[in-house]
Amino acid sequence: MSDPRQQNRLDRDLWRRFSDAAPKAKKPGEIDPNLLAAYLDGTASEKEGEEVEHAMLADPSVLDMVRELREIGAAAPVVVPETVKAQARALVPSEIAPRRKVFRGRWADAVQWLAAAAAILAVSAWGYWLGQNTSAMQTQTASLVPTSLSLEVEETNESAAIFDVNGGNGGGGVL
Amino acid sequence: MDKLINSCLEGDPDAWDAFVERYAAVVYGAVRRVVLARVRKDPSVSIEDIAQDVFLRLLQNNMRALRSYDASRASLVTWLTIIARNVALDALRKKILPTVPVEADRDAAPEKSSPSPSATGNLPAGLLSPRQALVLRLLFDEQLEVAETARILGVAEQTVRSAKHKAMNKLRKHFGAEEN
Repeated sequence: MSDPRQQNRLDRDLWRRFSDAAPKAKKPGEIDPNLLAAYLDGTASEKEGEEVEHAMLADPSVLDMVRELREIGAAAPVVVPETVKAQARALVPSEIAPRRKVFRGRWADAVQWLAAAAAILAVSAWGYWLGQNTSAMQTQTASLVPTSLSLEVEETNESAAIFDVNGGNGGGGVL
Repeated sequence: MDKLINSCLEGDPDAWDAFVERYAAVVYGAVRRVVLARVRKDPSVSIEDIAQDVFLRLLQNNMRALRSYDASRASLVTWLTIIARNVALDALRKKILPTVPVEADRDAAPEKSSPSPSATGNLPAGLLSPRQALVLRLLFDEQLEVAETARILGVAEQTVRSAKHKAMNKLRKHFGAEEN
């Protein structure tokens, strides 16, 4: 069995022969943070992984970046100064119109939906009432019409049904 | 997670508060590590200020950076770490501070413009996959251990050994055939 150290030296020499002869790959452009994050998380596809590793091979700074990001990811959590959080919270820009909620909390959306539904029901009810009262008004108005005109109304069955001076169809609503 | 981001993007101030509370440690930790790895103790470098720059970057231009995050591809923690690192490096470059490079020798070594006389000329395209070449570079050029190589690549140690074994077989076969 060959000496492992000697074998390692031979392997390293073969690698050097390869890397000397291999054409230098073009340095890649900036890597999309989503792609890089997927690679670091192990969720990148095989093709995406190859793309990142090709970039690491072609550009030493990409390799350094991946190494550093791995180290950062493995590091213990740090204590954040409260001033950092306070200043970050204050950074909400004024050009973004905040959604002003009348109700806050987890039930805010449900309350708003109920309010909208109640408004629709109210409008519908008002419309129905209006419709009912319009019929009643027409009934009472028809009773005030002189005899000669009312005779014309009574000539057709449909008209008689609608303008029933005795308060039949139409509900006989009160003005 | 998506709901919190979506609420932030809609301009919900409560959502932004919750976002800061949850992820300030990720941002601050990343910035701190990047800065301390490069800068000697300098009172003019404020890690807190650079951390604020990260949050500002997320909000600028109608939250363009935050909108670019794709939750279907990776975790927000990892994505934020990348953004925080980029912002920290940009901030350090602007300050043009004397820095201690992470890899001091990398830039100093002259780039090889031509192969050494012992190297062979034509290599078949794709003789080694990027993964295999990367493994050999890390093991031989960077002289890293298998465990460290596996950690950088995010794979198991056995995967590194296997990649090395296959790569060396290919090289031996290729250069052995050439010599014959």
